[in-house]
Amino acid sequence: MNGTGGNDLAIRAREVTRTYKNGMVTALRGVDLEVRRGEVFCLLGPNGAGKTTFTRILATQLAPSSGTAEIFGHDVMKETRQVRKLLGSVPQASFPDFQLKVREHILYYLVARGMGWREARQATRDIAEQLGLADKFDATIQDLSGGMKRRVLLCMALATRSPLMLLDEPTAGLDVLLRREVWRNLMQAKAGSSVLLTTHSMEEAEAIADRIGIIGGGRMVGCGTMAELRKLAPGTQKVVFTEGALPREQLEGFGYLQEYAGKWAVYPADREALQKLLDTAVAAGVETSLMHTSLEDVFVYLVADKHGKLKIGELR
Amino acid sequence: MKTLNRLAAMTLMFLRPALRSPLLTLLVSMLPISFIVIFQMIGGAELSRHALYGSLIVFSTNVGIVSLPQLANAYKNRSLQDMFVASPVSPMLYAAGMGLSRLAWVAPGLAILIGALVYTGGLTLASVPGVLLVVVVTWFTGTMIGFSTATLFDSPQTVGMVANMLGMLFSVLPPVYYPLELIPPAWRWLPMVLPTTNAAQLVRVAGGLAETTPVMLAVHWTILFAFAFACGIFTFRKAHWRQS
Repeated sequence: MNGTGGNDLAIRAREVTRTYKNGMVTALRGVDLEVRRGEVFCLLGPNGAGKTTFTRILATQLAPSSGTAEIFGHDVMKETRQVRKLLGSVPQASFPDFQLKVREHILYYLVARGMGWREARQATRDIAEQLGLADKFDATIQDLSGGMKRRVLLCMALATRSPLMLLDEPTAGLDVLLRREVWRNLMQAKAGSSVLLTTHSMEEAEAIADRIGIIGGGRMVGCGTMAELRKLAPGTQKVVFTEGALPREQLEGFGYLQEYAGKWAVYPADREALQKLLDTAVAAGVETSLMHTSLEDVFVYLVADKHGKLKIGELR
Repeated sequence: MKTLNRLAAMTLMFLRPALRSPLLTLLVSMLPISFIVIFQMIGGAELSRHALYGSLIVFSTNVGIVSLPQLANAYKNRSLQDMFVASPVSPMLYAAGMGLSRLAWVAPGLAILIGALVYTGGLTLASVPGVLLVVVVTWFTGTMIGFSTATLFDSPQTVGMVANMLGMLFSVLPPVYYPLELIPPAWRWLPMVLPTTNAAQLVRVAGGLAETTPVMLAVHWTILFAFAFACGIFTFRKAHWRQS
């Protein structure tokens, strides 16, 4: 089983902590996580939440301060060599060598990892076709667009056909069209691998993840499928008012109130409360919009509201 | 065979970009060439011959001490090194590939220099293997120092400064381009602690440009190998692969 030992868990992390600067800065405060074989798991979180620190620990690039992490049953600290054979990774803010050609970059990486030249040449050709780089095969990296440069790194990771892919913000900085193309390519090329992908993009998480973990302030504050995460929100629907359209105390009587960008969103506790809220708005002649709770709402509620009413920037 | 393939791939990955940068090659060649020209003007043919022998050592050392850390740091800052960390590529394979790529890069220059010395009678064919051994050992030492520099410091500016300072310390200040005899006898022990001084002396002895005793010859070789060994141990113990 590719060194995975038939283990059903691709990742198993227990109470992983990490501090920097002699304990003065805490990046992770005891993260637990299980990712299943073949699953696409998205780790969502604001800047400085600990996503990259956690991913780097799993990728054997960084040692945890305490806690354990296993990749297909192998401890990342004690069985590093076995773990590294199981990984394909694209680190955050990584860039390919601008002076190499696309073909060379992927090919040399694969052979250096231990693939034979012939197999690596074929794998290089295949992955370049899958990720839409076939016509740039002999182009020098410096002549590629930003999106294509990013795709070269994805090619390098995916062509390894490793059982676990650790992709840290692989679509950061790409426009929406390119991002969607990368998602499609990723889903086609992952071929049974488990994927842990970190992102800021709710849309990305909703589009490709089987399950989503929300990390905030170094803690896992929510984890599950989209449906499961929605249940963590204060309601399944929200009614949006312009700030001050009705007295705040009155609106809070119908359910949880969230503020953003000059708006108040009220999450009615149940159907009865929703109906009463809408009736109140109509009676007062106030314009409202009724929406389903989005992943972004869940995210903001879990990261910034529920956990100590912190503002996003204060979570770093 | 598999290990050799992996090493070849690693070497090619670092070598290809260097071959596509003629300016970089020119930059690396400029220091030795400048010294040969300067010594020719100051001291005439005798001193410039010393600089010619010394440039063999400078080429083989500086590709490791000066050029390699900047390459390694670029890979580190682009997070490309992290892709290799999270893979079956060992730090030794990575460092060896990087070091070999630098050696392969300057190999034509070294070959031309050695060829020119043999052609002009500055080296006998029989002495070439010994000279090559000196070149390889100094290259290894430089590679180890360069790799450590790159991994111990994060900032490209710091790495650039440390690499250039080490380059000065190992190849410009000690008697590598110029003869050891120019240093007052009471102070000759000081540059002798550096491998480059000993390497330059060995090459000059091989070329008949310097005389030495069998004891001093043994001392030169011992210091050269001891330094290489110590640098190797230090690198693999201290150079950071996984951040602690």
